[in-house]
Amino acid sequence: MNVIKRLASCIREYKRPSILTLCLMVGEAIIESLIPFITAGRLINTIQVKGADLEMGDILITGVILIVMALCSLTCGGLAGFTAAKASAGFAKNLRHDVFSKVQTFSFSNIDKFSSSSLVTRMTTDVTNVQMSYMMIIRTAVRSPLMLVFSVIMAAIMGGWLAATFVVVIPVLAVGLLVVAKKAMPAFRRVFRRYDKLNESIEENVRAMRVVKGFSREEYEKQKFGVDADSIRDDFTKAERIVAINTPLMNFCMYFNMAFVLLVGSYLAINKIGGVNIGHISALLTYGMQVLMSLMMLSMIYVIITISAESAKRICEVLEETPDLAEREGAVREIKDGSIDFEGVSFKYSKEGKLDALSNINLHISSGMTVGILGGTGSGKSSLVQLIPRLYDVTEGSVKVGGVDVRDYGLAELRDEVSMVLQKNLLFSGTIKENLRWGNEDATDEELEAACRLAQADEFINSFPDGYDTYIEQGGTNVSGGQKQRLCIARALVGKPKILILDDSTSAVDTKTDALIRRGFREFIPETTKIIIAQRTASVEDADMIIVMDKGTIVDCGRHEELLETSEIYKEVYTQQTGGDFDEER
Amino acid sequence: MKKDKKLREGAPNGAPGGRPGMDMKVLKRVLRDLFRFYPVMAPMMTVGIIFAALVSAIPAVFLQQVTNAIDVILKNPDSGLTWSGDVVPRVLLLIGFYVLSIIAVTIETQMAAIVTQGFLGKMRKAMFDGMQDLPIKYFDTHKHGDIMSYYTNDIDTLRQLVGQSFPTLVRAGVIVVSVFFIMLYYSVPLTLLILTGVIIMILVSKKLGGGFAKYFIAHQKTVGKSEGYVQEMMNGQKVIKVFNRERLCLEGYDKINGELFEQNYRANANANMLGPIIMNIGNVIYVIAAITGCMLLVGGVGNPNLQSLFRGYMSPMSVSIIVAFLSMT
Repeated sequence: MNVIKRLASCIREYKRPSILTLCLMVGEAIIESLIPFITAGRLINTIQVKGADLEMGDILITGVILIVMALCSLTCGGLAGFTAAKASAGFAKNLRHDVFSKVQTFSFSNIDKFSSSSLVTRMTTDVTNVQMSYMMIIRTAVRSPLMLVFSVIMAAIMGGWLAATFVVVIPVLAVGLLVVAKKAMPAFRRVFRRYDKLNESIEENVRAMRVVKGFSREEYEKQKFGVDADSIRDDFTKAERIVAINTPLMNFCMYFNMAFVLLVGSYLAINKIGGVNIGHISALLTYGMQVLMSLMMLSMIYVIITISAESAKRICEVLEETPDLAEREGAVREIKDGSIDFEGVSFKYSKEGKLDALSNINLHISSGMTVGILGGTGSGKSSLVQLIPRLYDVTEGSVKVGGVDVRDYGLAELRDEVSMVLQKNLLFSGTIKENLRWGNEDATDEELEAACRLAQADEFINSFPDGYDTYIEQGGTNVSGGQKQRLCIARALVGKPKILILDDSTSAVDTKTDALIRRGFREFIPETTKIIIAQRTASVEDADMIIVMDKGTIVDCGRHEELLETSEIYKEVYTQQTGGDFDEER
Repeated sequence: MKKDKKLREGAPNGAPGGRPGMDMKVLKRVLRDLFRFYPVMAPMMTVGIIFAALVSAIPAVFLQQVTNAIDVILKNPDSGLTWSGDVVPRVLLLIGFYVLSIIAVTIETQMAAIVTQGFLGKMRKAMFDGMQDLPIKYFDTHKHGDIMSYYTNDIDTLRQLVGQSFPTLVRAGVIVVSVFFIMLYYSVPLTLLILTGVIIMILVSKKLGGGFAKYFIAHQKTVGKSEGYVQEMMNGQKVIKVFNRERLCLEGYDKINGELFEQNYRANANANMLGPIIMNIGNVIYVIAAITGCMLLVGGVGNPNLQSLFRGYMSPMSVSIIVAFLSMT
């Protein structure tokens, strides 16, 4: 019920076309069911009864009435086609807007809950399923039961006992179709799940073809895919075989109706019982078809609605997700400086999770300092820095920027001043300039160029024929990894933040360029606090402070020379990377 | 191009996104493969479809005979025709056909499920195997979404082609031809009238179909644009948050979403129109056929038909023929 209520709230300004569709469909159903009634009663029966004494005037008047009715039915049906299209397209538009806008309010932890590919599916396939279902509901779900009821009433009025055929046909077909639909649903759900898996596997292969070929895994992948393709074939065959029962079932009911009406109708007509005549027999056959078609449509609607119910549920999961991060009332809008304090900070990604990603972190970073962070995979480096721009909230303790708890700042103001280059850096489709202006919408061309010079990106940008107007493809596929990283650094610098965080953002940049970037930072943005997470000790050895992390805690902290003396981990990493004796260097 | 062909082996459409319109060449090739993969089941399935289609066309004949018997008995009780002697045996024969038809349909639809899915399974594997043999360059120069669409959209189209279009084409072809001859057997003028109506229907649906194909293509393009944007923004959601771009992204999306609404509305509105128009042209033909039949009956003019060719004389129009015609319309 909640799902329906939530989805119904997206109809909004499209209530009018929705209601209009329902009214038009009622009109169409009434006219449609009256046409055989008039044809049989006023046309065929008149001919049969009057025979050669028939006057053409009678028939022509009836003909005109019937044509006018057909035109009215056409008007109703046609207009309903337009209004239903407007209502359902509008409903889908609002639904997409609501989902997209909801995702914009999500925190990182909310996003982690839904993978980005699942969010895309919810906004595309799922919305389309629900839209189709909505259009079907306002067009057919009203028309079909109405046609069913009207046809049975008309048949009973006209045929009397002949309408008894429906006593057999309707329950048989209704129960049959329902059983088939019920049995087919789980089978189809299984098929959809397998489809998802199969598509994932294809996508993975397409994306990682280099790896597949590099390791000569083509045959293995073919075999693996073959197994998946066979299970889809088996499940789909099972599901389709269940649905295939519909056709003979429908034929049985249609044929039963035909044989019954012909046999009993002719008996009643010949023996002049109940006023049945040829017109009635003809009308009963038409009504029989209308009843069967209505039932068939209803069973189709049932299947479509059940399938789209899954989609509706998935959409509502997004719409009803509560954003984890909220701004406090009276939030602080100004950040004094780039100093950072971690006070007794513990953090885990999920409230239900047992393991802490960080535990008991105490750290002071003065404004303008350059801090390097080193540590193995899963040591907590990224977790630590993500707490500064409040991408996540601490589980215990507090993180302060400029002496104020980050939770007390306005989110926009905090993130404007704490610029971060994520480990998974991304560029968006658009020109280089447009991408750089993500850092500051109002930045001048000179400011963009200055940021690019600092990030060592200016030179390669100018080597492009279109320079700063070069178009970046989706995901930045037309620039190299190193160029992408430098553009991302420049983008973060454009906003002139008080704190700049680089999360392993120079891994694809050569050591010389890496050193030039750091030198630029020292010379041109000395007042900005810089935090650099790196794999290479060379990237952090000139930092004011180097933090060594392991298993979510700070194990060592100091300058390069101090750590070579005191930190076993640092010493080991350094030795491995330089391949030499650090004593010699000293 | 050759490489493309390798991956697309079996996929029914030329280029991804270049959908509507499934040409006969493709249909022929798919059917050739289908009969090659299933040399026993596919012909059996076809026979089942033809038999069921024939049976669904013949009730009009029985209806004419039964209504004729009623008409004769009512008008001339001494004609010698009786319900038990002339109506019941005919209906029983019809029931016999029905039973056979239901058996044929049951076997045919069950086989169709097996054959269709088996065929798709083979196609999927052939495509995947072909893909594994393509050079890396292919994956660098083709959008991944396009490659994926061979496995999703194109396979779906193939399913429609084998599971729906082919049986419908055979069924409709058999019904149209047999109904046409039954109609000619009863009345040439009414047949010509209905033929004219059918031609109008075909022309209208062609015109409308052409119209909505244009909207459909425009809609598909906008869908692609919208999906591209959503994909990019959902993948980059964390970057969006880091740079406070939520509002701007939503504004960008609303613009595309508005376009999508317009195209979606137009494409669906046009598609929705086709059903009521065709159905009501059918209603008008029904009425005109009834009136024309009545006029021929009242006027007492001759009713040329195939029977008159065999008999050598022209019988007049009768109520039973009109009823049979209306049921076929």
